[in-house]
Amino acid sequence: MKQEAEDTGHQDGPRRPLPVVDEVSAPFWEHCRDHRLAVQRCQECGRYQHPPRPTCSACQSDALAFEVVSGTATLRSWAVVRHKTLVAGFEPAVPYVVLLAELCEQGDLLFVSDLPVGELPDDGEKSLRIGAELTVSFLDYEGYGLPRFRPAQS
Amino acid sequence: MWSNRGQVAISGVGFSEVGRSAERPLGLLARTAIEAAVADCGLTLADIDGIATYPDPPFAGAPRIDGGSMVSAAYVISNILPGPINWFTEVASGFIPGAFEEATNALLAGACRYAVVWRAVHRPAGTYGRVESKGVGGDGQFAGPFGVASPVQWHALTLRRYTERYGDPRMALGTQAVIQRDNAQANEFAYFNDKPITLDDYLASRVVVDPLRLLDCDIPVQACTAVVLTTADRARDLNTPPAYVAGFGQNPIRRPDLVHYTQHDYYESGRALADILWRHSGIGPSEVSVAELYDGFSPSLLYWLEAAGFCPAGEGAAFILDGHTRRDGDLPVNTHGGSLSQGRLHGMGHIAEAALQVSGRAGDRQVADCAVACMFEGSPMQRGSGLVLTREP
Repeated sequence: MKQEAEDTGHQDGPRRPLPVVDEVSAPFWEHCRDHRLAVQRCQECGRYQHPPRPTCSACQSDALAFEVVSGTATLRSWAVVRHKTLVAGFEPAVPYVVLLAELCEQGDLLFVSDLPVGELPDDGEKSLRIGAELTVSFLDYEGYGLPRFRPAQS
Repeated sequence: MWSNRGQVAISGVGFSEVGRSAERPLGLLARTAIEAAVADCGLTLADIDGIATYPDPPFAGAPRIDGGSMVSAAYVISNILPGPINWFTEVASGFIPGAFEEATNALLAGACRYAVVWRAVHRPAGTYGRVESKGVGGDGQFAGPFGVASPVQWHALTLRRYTERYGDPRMALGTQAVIQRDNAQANEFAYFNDKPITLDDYLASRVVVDPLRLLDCDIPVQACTAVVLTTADRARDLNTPPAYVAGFGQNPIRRPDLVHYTQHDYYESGRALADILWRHSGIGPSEVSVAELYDGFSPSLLYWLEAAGFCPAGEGAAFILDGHTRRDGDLPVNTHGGSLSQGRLHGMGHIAEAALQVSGRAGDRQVADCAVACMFEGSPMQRGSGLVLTREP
């Protein structure tokens, strides 16, 4: 399934902390730069895991590879950040939604996303229902692709 | 059941002042607390030959300044105790109950005779826990770029799921916040001991991260709390009634250490810990006289009450609203005010209060006929740890 095209970006948005990429997470971020959501998968037992690790947390194998996933997810939970000074750089974004996307490939694959309140669909916070369908898009930011989930347009 | 149940006891408890600003460096607060704990049981600093702590600053990313933002074992050896020190350690796992567990085991092994366990927490100027980083590594690299870095955000996400599953518990959370604030009025070492609140105050308190309000969050403070532990026979020769260690436990469940640590099923994870603790101590939840449950955020009380077996899953709110957790109820919770009203002593306040309660030394906060106290640290969906103290060995 084709993943969504890129975010329109936001010049007035937050100043985001950048990922400090390590040797285990590097493939994830390489895929993201090309706007592909890829998750580490054990080649022995088939389980996905995120964050990536040197070995499989289910069967301890080290035969792991990143596989591109569909990018569809459901809403595990969400919250609205109203406190201005919690995360440096995100002051201009407050209030903003933080949400947990649960990938449809496996129930414990959780991805964090932020979403400006102004970017919610027309029905606003009503679109934020636990279990709502989400799709991924990528924000190009300072040389990184940042995967972000939002409620699928109906 | 643990074969050494009742063989170690807490004999002394000591606090520094509990404040909001760093008027004195943390190292001096540690000296105050340790001196107080030692004097409490009639020992001298020279008697202490074993020390243990969980040293980390109380939030991720904080600078490590020994004597300033933390108080390490090395600091205590060099700057507080005359020694000689025969045994010392610092822990990572289990937080402060982990250090407590290590000291217990060291005493039983004969590695030392009188041990001090302390927790020193620093409150820096500025927004507590504010993440000031251009780049985030480790598992934070998957959350920081999206504006998520603070535990209050993770706990808000968990509370929303709890609410979806069991209904909105805010009246119970507010009721418990008021109970604990009321308890704090009788605690000399509680930050909010001069500031009662009402349920209306709770409901009106501003939203920090929806659905968590300011009064759902603990109050960061600068303080040190210390206890003296020794073997039961030595404890009985001191001038305080011992608070016997009946059992302890850390949560060993096998699960990925997600950056999204609060998303693990709190009930499943908490039950795993509680089963260990109750089996270790040979005590069950129905025998507990007072429960000191970690309350960095108020919903953790629901998760602990249910996971520890004090009430069925999903019924924590009803349990609170029915009055069980009041100081005159059948399971008083956080009789010292908890992290919410005493301050973020990072669990050491809970341990100290448990010890004071079972040794009959909680003064105006004393629960009648307090034979068993339990203490649970952290949150059940994270990992957590715990211990049980008893009046009798």
